[in-house]
Amino acid sequence: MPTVEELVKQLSSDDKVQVYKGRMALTKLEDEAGAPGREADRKQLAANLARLIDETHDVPDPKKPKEKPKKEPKHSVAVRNRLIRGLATVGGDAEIATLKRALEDFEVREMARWSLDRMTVASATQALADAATKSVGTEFRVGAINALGRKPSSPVVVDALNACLDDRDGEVRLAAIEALSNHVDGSQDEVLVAAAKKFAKKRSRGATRLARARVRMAERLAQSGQQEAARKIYRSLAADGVDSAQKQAAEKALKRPG
Amino acid sequence: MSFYPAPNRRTFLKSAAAMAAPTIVPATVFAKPGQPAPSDRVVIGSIGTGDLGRRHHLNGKLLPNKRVQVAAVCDVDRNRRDQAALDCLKKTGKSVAIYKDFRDLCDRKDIDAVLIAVPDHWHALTAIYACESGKDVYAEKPLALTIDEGRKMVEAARRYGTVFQTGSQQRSEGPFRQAVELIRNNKIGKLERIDTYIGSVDAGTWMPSQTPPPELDWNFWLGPAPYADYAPNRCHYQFRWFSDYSGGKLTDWGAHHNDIAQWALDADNTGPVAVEGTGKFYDDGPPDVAYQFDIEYAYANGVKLGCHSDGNNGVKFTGSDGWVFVTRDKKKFDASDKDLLKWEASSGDVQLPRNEGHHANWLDCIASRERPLCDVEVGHRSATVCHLGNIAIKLGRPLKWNPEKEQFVDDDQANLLVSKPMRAPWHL
Repeated sequence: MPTVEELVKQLSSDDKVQVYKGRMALTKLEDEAGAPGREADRKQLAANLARLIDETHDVPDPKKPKEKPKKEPKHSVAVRNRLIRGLATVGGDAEIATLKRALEDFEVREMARWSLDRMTVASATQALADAATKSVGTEFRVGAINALGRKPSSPVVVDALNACLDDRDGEVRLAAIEALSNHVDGSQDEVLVAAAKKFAKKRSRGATRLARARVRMAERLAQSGQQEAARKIYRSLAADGVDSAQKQAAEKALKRPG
Repeated sequence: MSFYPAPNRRTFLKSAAAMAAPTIVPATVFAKPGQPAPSDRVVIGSIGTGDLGRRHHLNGKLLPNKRVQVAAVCDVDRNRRDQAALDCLKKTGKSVAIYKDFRDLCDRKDIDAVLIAVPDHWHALTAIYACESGKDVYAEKPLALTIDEGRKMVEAARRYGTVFQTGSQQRSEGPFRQAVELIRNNKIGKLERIDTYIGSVDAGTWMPSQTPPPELDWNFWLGPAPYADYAPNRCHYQFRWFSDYSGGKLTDWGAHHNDIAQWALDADNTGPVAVEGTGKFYDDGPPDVAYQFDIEYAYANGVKLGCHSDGNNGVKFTGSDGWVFVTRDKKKFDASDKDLLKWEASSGDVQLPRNEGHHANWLDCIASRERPLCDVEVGHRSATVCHLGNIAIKLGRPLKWNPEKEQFVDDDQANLLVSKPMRAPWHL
């Protein structure tokens, strides 16, 4: 079995076939190390991936030969992206610091976000919450918010999403509304409606997205036993008429027993 | 507050016509002889007009169908959407609306239903958006790219009361129904195992990364998948061989034959409880999905399902008293007892639904609001069988599956593979 260092050399090749071989071999290593009962192997592999992601080399500036060389990532963007992706299935708490650094690097931050999205440790959720609330770039922040929408409900998630409801970026606010609809809390509906009123015209795609999010939220409330909170949202949607499909979905739900 | 559902465009037109027109007005005012009235036609938007979407669905099934009016076509490839629109113009004499973005098509209130034939990594996003827009849906198989996406499609369809047909059309084809009826009626004794033979993957060739052609919006094509440079053999038909977009042959054809296995097992609301398998990958790429595989599934009732890349394409059922083999070629329909090939279910036997074709079944159900033969849950469960196989091959270890919770048992890493993150801004 090749070492991760050997595979990184393959991944760095100009030959597509070599890159492919390296990618497939690394995938195999990750899949085997993640097996139940192989915790030590998983930790070792994850640590190796993180070390290689963080690895730097000195790059002297030819115009300033007397200055101290700059520290640049040793491995290419493509290689680092592949290593970061590997952490999605073998990474744990120990690798969050590496991924947080990657979130600061425009060249690899989307893959870091992707991996944190898949990871289940609480520290990954915290890193995404920070990315959602403190980073720059609409699409990137929307990606972090979407990832929070997939995480289990927790104060970290809900607080971060609530903070995004007041953001100056309309796409960020809308994404936060949609993500919050996945987290069951009946009192949240009024917050969503109020947030949406600030920016969505009554007949706009944004308004429709809000109405869809409320339908989802009501369904989750009903599934979790909060029938009255769910019915309140359904009744509001049925009366609102912002979008005929949402109105029908609400009326359909209201006809259900219980 | 009214508890009556708001009418959709078709039911509104029908009821409005009935209210406005005295009963003495002949039906011919509304319909030409032998043709449905315009108000009874289902207005359809076609999303994804590549080979399958345009050749098979649009030209083969929708445009010749008098019960259908195609109103719009949509594709991220300009040439493909324009060509599809030209087909519509030539065959019906009417122009249709042309869209690049499926959301614009779905936002139209005058469209009743959509036919979705996009790459697998787009199935869930397009279908769920369509459900949320109040459209009925026909979506190609495999239903989704991941198990989690499939479950979310089921939830959306139920939430909106969508009539959702999955394109595993073998259920609407005679020999498959006949074979499954033989099994369900114990004509080969107690069912012991099923083997599906679904074919392999061509290696293809490496092509250099290049600038996408001007007619193709490559970033839109990639959508929720991680960014990758464009190469012609990552796109269109060959997307099937890249795991970011598809599950390879195992999901492509497995969604047909494993669907028949699920039907025979009466497992449309459940699935296997254990899976293990081996697969081979090309040493030199470019596909990163298994090209050769043997997977063994176990169901709670003790029946085993084998899914194989090699062997004659089809499904073989083995029971305590004999066997049956079925494939799309009716001449190859075979059994250990040849009399079984002539057997037809009659009253008192388990009889499965007959229809006039998969699309016709969907249209019938749009009118009746019943669930079609290959409802979204059926498609989801059949696709899940295929996904489980791919996950077992990938991880190289036996896995236990809880079909009720749709989670692996005692394998955290396997459970990570039930879903897949999406690239922003896309999400479910």
